[in-house]
Amino acid sequence: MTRSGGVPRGVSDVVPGVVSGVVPGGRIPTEQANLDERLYGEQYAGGSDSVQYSWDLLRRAGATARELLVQAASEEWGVSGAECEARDGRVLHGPSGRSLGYGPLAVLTARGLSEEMPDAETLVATEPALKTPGEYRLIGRRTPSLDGAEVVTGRIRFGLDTRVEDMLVATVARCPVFGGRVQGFDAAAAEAVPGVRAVVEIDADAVEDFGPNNPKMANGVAVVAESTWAAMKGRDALRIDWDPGPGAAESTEGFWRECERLAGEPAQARIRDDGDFESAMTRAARRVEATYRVPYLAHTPMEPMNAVAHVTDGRCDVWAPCQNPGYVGTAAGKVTGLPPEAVHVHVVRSGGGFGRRFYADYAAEAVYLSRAVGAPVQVVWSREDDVRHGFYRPAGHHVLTAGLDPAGRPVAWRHFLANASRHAALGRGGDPREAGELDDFDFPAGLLPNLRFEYSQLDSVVPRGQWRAVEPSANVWVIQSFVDELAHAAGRDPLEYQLDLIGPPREVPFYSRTYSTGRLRRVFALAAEKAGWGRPRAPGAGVGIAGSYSNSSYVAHVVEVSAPADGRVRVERVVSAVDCGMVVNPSGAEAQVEGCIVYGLTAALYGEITIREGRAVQGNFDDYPALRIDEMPRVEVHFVESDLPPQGMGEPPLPSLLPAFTNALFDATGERVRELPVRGRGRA
Amino acid sequence: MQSFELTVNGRRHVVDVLPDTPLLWVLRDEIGLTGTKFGCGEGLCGSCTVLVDGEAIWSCVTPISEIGDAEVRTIEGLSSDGDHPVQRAWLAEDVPQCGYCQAGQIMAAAALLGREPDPTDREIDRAMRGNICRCGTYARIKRAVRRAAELAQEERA
Repeated sequence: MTRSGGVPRGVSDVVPGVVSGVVPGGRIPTEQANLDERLYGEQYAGGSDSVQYSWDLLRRAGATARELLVQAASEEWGVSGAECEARDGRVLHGPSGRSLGYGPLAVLTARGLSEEMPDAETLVATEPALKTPGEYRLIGRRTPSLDGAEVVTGRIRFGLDTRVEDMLVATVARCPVFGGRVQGFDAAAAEAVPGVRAVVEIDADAVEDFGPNNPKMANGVAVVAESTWAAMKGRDALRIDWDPGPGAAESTEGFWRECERLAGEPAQARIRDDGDFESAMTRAARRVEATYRVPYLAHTPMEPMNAVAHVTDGRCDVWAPCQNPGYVGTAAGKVTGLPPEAVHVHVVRSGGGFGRRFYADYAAEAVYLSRAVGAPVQVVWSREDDVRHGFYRPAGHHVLTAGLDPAGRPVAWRHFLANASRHAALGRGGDPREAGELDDFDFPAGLLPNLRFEYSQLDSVVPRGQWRAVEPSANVWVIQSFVDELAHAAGRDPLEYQLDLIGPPREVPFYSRTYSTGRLRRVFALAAEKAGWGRPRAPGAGVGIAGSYSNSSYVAHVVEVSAPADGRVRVERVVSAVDCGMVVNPSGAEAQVEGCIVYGLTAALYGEITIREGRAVQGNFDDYPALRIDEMPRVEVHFVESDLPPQGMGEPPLPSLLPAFTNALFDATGERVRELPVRGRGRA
Repeated sequence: MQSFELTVNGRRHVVDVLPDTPLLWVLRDEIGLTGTKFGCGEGLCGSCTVLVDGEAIWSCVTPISEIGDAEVRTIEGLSSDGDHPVQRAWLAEDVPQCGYCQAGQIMAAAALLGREPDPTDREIDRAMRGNICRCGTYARIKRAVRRAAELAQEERA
């Protein structure tokens, strides 16, 4: 059973590697667990911690199983367990040459062959002997995806492929203005579409809140039909009067104006204040200041949001491709009024998530509609629904100020952020100290004596939420761009400047733990070495470097671009260095780096949701583009060899890719990118 | 509603649908072939790619009324047991992550190799640029298409 929600890619491939790292050999099938947090604990997939979380648990599970199998074999043969070895799916008794497969041994174990044999709980409590890295057979080995054959033949079932007997299909017209509501509607034309069964208003305001961090669905009108196409046509035929509410006054221009105003006032909250920033600035030989802006970003996983629900008297089943089955269960309970034990959440495979499927709004719609029409209902979102009704990576206005000493080293640093935070949007309190998207431990916290982080928030109806490396995706871009600016201001090589700023190898406080500047230095140095940092560049070519520590992994990238004076910018090559502890499956880990590069480049080049009259302007891959295959750079991934426990890889490679790219653009063109995306601003 | 007869993966089907129904929804909702995926509904992402008389088309913007007597092939019918050179190459290069776009990617690659057995990198880019992958499997797709071309050549030899 894999615990996390059904999104993390390669987690089901890591699990057998880790387990069989201790139970050697044999094929270990995995199965996605449905929601049962009493049994499994929290089941979300977020924060890149699936592997990290599971490492100890799975190794102990594997080791315990091995001891049980060896015990069973030794009992069967009447020999000492110490003379037996578990290997390649069998337990062997060397002296006699006897062996038994895990299958028959498992049967013996399950029958409780001997009363003297300890049960699993006792064995776990007695700390089974874990393998040492030298003994691993699958861990560290390149292992292809377990479900590849299902994927390439089209047999694999995603959420949208869920079929329940007598299931109807629904589409929902949601209020295009965030926070708006339905005033009235005319269903006649929709009802006239052949195959349309019902038109149902979704009055989300009348549904009890799902709780903090678990936002409700939008208000809207649903068309429930016998087929997807009929539901889509029916929705097009709806005539709805919307009450847009106060959100209609919001726009991207207004948002930036308000951020500017906040930047000109004393900050609402001081997140961190080390040393004496002000007096250090007065002593500084030189002052550098820059303003950066990051936009709202949608997730656009390839599979649009969808879910199936079947609500009957006293029972609710939900089939949801989700990252957070617990939230789906809570939402279904609130919508139906059913107790938790009557709600059954079936976790089905997701076609990507990236943080969008952390929320349960789309599943709540299916539950709402199934309850309303008394039949199983599949809710299908269009791509436009996905882009226009997301929970966006927060936009932000960052002002960075540094004071440099005569040698160009920073002696004072201030980072100010104004934005509408995701925490406030998700009902996690309005205190700007708590709500901020700037963290106490953002870089270069702990590395400089005089350092100040400040935050001011503004209100907005725009939904904000998780994203792939949500905060670092913005903050690391800003910070690592600014470090590059300082290096150039100081007339120093950016790599050398970075290493100088990071300082000697040591442990630096990071939340309740620490991080290692030595490991951070090493990934910078490794990426630079493998990329051939410092080589002369052709005219129009540029190289940039950036790195970060986030979600417990260390990553640095060197990006090479070409920016011909008359043509489009092209990313030619990315060299990545990663220290994520032990690499369980190199193929999967490299895939995560490649994925973060593509996701990060897409964001840097194209990603932007703009707001006009309280609604998202973009709608599909024509105006919210994604990187395509002909834009794919050459990628080289280098892992630092390590015996340390494995850490997450779904997010850590993303943040520093963006500044490595824009630093390379500066190197090529002399133009500093301080606003994303790159496209539409300058030559990209 | 109107009745249409069509051939999918060598089998005849009769469906009763609105004449503007895209082939995608006929395949998924009427015939029960869910391997072909919905991604954008506008011919912008390639997830719904199928072969019509060997040519790759976007089934999300192709109405059933335009299919006529043409032979439709979906991922389920690309090979009898998953051994098409493109499928084998996809496994060998460990391409899929979430896997959602891969049916469309594979069908686009199969169409390319059907008309150009030994494509250049440029031809691969051009043939595959209509297919978006948000997980970022592009580097592996490029390798897999080249490997598939080699496998197909070995098969013919």
